[in-house]
Amino acid sequence: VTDERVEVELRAWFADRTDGDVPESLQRYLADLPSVEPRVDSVRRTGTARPFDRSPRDVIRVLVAAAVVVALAAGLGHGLSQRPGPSAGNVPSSPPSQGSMPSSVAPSTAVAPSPSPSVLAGPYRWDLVSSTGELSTYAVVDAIRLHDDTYLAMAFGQEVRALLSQDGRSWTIEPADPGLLRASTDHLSLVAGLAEGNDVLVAVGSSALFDISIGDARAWTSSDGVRWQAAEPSKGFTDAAMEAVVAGPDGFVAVGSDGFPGANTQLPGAHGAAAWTSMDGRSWTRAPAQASFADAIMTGVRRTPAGFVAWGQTLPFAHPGPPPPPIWTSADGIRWVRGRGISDAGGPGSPISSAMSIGDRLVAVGTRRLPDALGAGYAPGAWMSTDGGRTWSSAIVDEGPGMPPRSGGMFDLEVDKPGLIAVGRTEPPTGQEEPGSAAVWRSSDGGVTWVAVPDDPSFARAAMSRIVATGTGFIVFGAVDDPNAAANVALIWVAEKAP
Amino acid sequence: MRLAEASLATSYRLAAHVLGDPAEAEDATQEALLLAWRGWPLLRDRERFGAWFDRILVNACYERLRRRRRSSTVAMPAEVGGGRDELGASVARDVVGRALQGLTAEQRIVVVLRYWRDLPIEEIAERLGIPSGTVRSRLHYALEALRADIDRPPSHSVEVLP
Repeated sequence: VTDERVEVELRAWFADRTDGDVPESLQRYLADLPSVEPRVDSVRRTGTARPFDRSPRDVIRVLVAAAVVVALAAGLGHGLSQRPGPSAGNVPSSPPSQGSMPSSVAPSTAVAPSPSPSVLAGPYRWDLVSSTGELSTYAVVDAIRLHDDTYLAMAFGQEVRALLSQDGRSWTIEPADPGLLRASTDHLSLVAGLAEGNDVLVAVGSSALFDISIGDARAWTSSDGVRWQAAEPSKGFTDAAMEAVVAGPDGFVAVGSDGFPGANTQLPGAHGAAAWTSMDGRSWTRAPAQASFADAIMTGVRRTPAGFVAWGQTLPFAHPGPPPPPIWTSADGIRWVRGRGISDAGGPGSPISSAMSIGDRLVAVGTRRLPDALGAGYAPGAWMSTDGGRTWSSAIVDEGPGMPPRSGGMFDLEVDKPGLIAVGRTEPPTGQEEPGSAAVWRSSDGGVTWVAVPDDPSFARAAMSRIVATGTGFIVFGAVDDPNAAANVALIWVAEKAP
Repeated sequence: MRLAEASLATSYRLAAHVLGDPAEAEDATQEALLLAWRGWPLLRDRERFGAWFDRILVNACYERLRRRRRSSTVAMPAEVGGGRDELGASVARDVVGRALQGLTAEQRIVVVLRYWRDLPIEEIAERLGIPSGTVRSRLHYALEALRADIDRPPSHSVEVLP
């Protein structure tokens, strides 16, 4: 058989298949579409993504999207329709009315893991310090330890709010700050990253249309973390989003996406990565578009002895085969070099979630694609580079007993002297929508091998997305992770070295 | 949405051919309609609605194929399709239909756009957001796979299908 013959057969086969009249239900759906409440739907869609598709970004997006509904119901959304729209049809068992009524977003003690008596999990004692109350309705998008050993977090609840803490255990939600919230009509301020340097605090993010469909990058500065001032308007902010910021030797470097990624996990509005630099946090310059920015967005950035490392995720559909891994290094924050060498990371379901330097190597964590032989699922992954980020190779992650291994991802990492610690989530490898479990791994050999820390009871039905070192332990931010939970609840743990 | 109404039948059939399952095609089309409705403000050149909507729809289908593949923990002879391919099941003895099931998600999408929608390579590339060289190579491998499958005696292949 020749190719031409196959072509002829194909055309004939398709021509024969005249079946498939448009179902009436679909025509009705289209006719009803203008009355669908898109904001509500965006919550449900992201909220019911297959659990093993979930990245830290998604965990936060679900919480942010839920919060947007609250904000709209609270007054921004005049004439908000309470009528549930037609089903998007792709979720057979959607959680009970999630997002359709503001009350369902309020924290419910029934779904929050109750603060458990501390037990030892690894060398640490894990205390769940927040799972109920107002704080649990705020998704922590980023948190940093300040020069005076206090902590500042940015969170999204009804709107962006600063959280301050002396010890990581008790947090105050600062009053809404007009400087941070000010946005044009129908727009919301979304903060994604925080940094401190040169006696100034910098927050970056975006200003998005109320349904998080379109938006522009934004930055703010503050001296106390409570009152914020918008950065100078810049051409480089248009149709983009800043996702993270870090202080460098000569000011700040922010990274994000060219094109506003939008609220859903397919990132329909993103075209590629983007980076910005600023001396003072007030005036920003966008790095020129470059080849290494293609087909991926940056979601995080850290300092290294040689400059900076940034990471992110590849855009859906960008590559036919395995894409180059979404990890970049840069000496100046302006010119970025994309890493290579990994074939099991990158791609829509397998983002790189964090990276840092330890000794003479770089270590990254995220989600890796399992080989087809293992069911082509996704599992926690770690990688390392010994040549400054140009080539990467896989580290070895303890996946626990059982085959196939538990799926999940490693979402953030920190120094755990003399080694490293990473946090994330795992779930049973059944492929069903089941609750996940928060997970912690430690590496004592510079990121080459990772051992899972035994589960603490507080890890059940939870995911961890962000870890901050305190000097004596860690503060970990996360959320309830249960497809059947009626509400999204933010969680905060404190881990202290057990005596 | 008038624009979507005009092309609803074509869109639904595109999804049905790519997914090989009428129910899933309906879900994917609904999902794409919703995304398009929400993303309408992002579309700068509204003359290009058709290509833009195709791209959203194909993305929705692709996600479904990807998930389907991932949720199957048993190695199957066909990478997509599995046991849920109703349209495929009804034509199980049909050589071409059966061979199509054996293609990867990426290959199946380009084959449907090329031989059912009759789109030129460049337009397929635009819809998928990939270089036209990639479209060409996917088509090439798809045809190769189809040819190998069609050449094989049908009785043997039918037996290995789940």
